[in-house]
Amino acid sequence: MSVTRRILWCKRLLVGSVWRVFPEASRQLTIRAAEAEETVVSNAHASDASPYPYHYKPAHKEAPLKSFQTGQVLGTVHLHPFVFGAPPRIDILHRIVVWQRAKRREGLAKVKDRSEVRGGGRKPWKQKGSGRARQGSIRAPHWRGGGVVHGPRGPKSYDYTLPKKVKSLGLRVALSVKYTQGDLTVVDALQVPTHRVRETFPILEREEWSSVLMVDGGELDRNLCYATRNLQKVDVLPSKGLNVYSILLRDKLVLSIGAVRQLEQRLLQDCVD
Amino acid sequence: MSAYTWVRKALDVSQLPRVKLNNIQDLPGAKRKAVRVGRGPGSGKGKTCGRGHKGQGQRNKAAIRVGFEGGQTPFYLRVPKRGFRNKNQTHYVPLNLNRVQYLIDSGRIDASQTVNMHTLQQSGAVGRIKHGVKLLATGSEWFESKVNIEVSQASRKAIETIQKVGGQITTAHYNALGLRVLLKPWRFEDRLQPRRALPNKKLMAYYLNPENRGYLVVTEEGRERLRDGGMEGAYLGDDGRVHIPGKRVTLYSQPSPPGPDRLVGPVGGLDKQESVRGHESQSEPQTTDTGTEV
Repeated sequence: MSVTRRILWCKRLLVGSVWRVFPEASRQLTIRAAEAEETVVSNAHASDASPYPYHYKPAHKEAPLKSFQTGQVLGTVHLHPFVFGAPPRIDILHRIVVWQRAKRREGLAKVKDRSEVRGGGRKPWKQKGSGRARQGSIRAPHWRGGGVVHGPRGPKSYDYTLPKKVKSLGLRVALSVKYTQGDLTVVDALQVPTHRVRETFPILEREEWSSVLMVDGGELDRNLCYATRNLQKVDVLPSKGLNVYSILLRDKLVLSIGAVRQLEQRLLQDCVD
Repeated sequence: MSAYTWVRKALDVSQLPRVKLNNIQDLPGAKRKAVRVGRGPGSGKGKTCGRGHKGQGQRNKAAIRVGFEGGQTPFYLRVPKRGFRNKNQTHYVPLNLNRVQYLIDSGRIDASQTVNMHTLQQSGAVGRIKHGVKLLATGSEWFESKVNIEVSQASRKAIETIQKVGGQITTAHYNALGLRVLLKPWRFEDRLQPRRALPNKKLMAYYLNPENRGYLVVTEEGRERLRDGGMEGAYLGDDGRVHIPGKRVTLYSQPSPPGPDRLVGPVGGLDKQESVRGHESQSEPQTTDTGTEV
């Protein structure tokens, strides 16, 4: 191992996982987490089984649980550090956004080559004796109105596959970045009594959610869908459909507690250690 | 991977402007630009596009197979075949005590629990396990954790070290299926648990040997397996063979090589009465014609 590699290795240890290198630190973190657990007043369901196979347990991330209707703080929610505390791999976000946009391309660009342009079957003039340059077709590429050479050829898919682990890491990074930058809000339930915008709008105004993505766990509330349908920068998604592009498209992210648990369940499948 | 990666990983985004679609970027060097060939002499890949003049190399992609020598008998056909591949070879993943100690210190292995190969794999002590794990003694000078560990095989010094600091060690046999049950328990959750197989003839002697802390003698579970397998009371004779009472069969065993540093004295752990014979053998290492002196 060269010196450079060794330094990188040390850095990785330091940056990636503090609790692995320093047992003392890990103990403190565990204690802090345990203390926090005791003081929590929340209707969030605490998962009984630790997702970690062994005894170490990094500190949970925490977020206030707000009431969507009133804006009142109801308690504290524990967010899993694997999902909401991922390292900010901005490069992964970029890679995923590029991939999402690429696979979304319709790829309909198409031009006609010389065989597809109408006409041009007849030789314009005879080969010899006219004093003009020899020509075979009026649709040859160098003619005005002629066919195009090497142009885009019809419907084409720009889809490609990213590794599954990169995709799920991307989602974790996006959620973590929103959390770290203070743009993530967890609410009790994404429901409104009526489908009228004028009743939902005060909620958005109160929270200053001018550009927001709201994510619910199971079926979306129909009233909320109708009430936000006509608002320009307000999106509503089920947690199944949550993706990096949609998250980055809007400034704020609002997750219902159900969505948080569903996302954790889904994304923790990659949690090996 | 460049150092830049780690710099970016340590980025504190809470102090930065909001991460949005217009300010994200990939790492420099993550993508290589395609070389545009045939675009003029200034590009360096102009006229012949880097393919030279004329012929097969210019026209085909890779039609010439690897090892082809232009028609003459190639090297790999000129030279006769040699050697063989042992299909019965077993490979135990080596694991040294220093690594175990490191993982315990860093909190990845919980020393208060029984450590088995599943634990070792989950904690990253070993990677892919094909046939088992063998515990070796590098780092025995500073090994200090009291652990209860079960592996496939262990070196004499490793056993000695673990017991010296007050831990317990057992060597246990797992065949392919047994290893699968151990390492991937979730695959057998809604299925009948397969019964654990006894060691084969060659390995029987190893696991009947208390010096090796073989599970067939030192654990109750192992003795039960022996009974289940109809081999109750099997023992390792001084001749290095496995004797089964009530049966005329004796299983020949692999002799363990005679060595000067023999583990002597009570093995500790489960049964007090099991003291390893070895006083005689230590004083005068036998070399019988079978070469067995266990």
